[in-house]
Amino acid sequence: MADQEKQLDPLLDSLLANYADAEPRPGFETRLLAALREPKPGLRFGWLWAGAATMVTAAAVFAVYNSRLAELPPPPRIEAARPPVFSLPGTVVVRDATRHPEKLQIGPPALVSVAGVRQEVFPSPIPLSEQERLLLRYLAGTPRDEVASHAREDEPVEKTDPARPESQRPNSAEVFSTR
Amino acid sequence: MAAQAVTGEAILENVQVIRAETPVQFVEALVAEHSLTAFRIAYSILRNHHDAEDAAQECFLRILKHAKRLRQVRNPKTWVARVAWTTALDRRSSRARTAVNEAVEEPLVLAQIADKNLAADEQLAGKQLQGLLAQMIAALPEDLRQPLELSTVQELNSAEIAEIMNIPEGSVRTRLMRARKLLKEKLSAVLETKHG
Repeated sequence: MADQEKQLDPLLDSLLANYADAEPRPGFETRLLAALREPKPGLRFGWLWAGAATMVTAAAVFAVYNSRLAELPPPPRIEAARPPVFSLPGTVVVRDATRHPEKLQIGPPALVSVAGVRQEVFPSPIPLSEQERLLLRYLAGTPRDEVASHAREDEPVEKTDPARPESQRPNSAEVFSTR
Repeated sequence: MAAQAVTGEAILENVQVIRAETPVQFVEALVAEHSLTAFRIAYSILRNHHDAEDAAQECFLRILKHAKRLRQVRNPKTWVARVAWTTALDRRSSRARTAVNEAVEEPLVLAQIADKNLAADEQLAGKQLQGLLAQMIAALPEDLRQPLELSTVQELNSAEIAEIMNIPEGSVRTRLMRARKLLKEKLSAVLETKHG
C-alpha cells in the first residue's frame, strides 16, 4: 500500500503541475493594458447618475422649501403712516336726508384727507432747455480764450469823452461811490 | 529564508510603486509583473482560457478601481493574487460549469500533450488522466480544493497561499496533505479498476 502511494506521488505531481500550467493567448498583456487605458463606461454612467441624483435632490429641496413657505403665516401688514388730516370747517353733512327731510342736522365737519402722493422713484432730472443745449454746444466747440474774450466784451465799457476837461472827469472814487 | 526573499521582492516592488506617478502607471507595472500569475490562478479555478483571461482583466480593473489604496499595499504580488483569486471565485459561483466549456478545452489539452512528443496511447492516457484529475479536484471539499488549486500555480508557495487565503501557513500545509491523500486514494482506485 505504501509502495503504491509512493508510485502515485510522481504521477500526481506531474498531473498537478500540468493542471494550471496554461499560457494565455498571444497579446494577452497588450489587451490588458488596452483595457486599463480605455475610458470606462461605468465611470461615465456614474457621473450621469450622480448628476441625476443631484438634480432630483435639488428639486426635492425646492419643493419642500416652497411647501413650507406656503404654510407660513402671511407677513404682518405694515400700515402706512396716515397722511395729515385737515378739517374743513363748515362742511355740512346731511344724514339720512331722504327719510327725515325735516331733521336736517348739521353734523360735525367732514374730514377731508389730503393724501400726499408719495414718490417712490427719485425724479429724473429735468431735461435741458433749447437755450441751455445751444449754450453747451457753443461752449464745447469754442476755445476757452475766445469764450473769455466774448465775456469781456459783454462788460459795460466806460466811454470817456475826450472833449471833457481832465478836471471834470470823475475820479475813480466818485465812479464807484454808491452815494 | 524564503520569507525573507519574499519580503525583499515585496520591497523592490514597493519601490516601483513609489516611482509610479499615476495609478494607471502603477497598475501597468503590476500587469507587466504579475499578469501571468493572475491568469494562471484564474485558470486553475475556471479551467477555461477565455474565462481566465476575462477574470484576469477584471482583476486588474478592480485594482485600478481601488487606486487610492495602492500605496498601502505591503506585498503587491500576493495582493494581485488575492484579487485574482476572489475574482475567479466570483465568476465560478456566478456561472455553472458546463460541458461546453470542457469540450472547448479538449483541443488545448491535446495540444499540450502533443507538444511533449508522447506516443499516441500515452497522449490519450494523459488526456484522460488530466480530465480525471480535474473531476477529482472539483469533487473535493471547498476547504481542501481552494489551497490545492492555488498550489498548482507554480509561482505561489505555501506562505503566499496562506496570505492569499488569510489562514495560517500550517493550515495550508495540512489541507494540502489531506487533499493529496484523497486524490491519491481516488486515483489508485481508478487505476486498479482500469488495470484490474
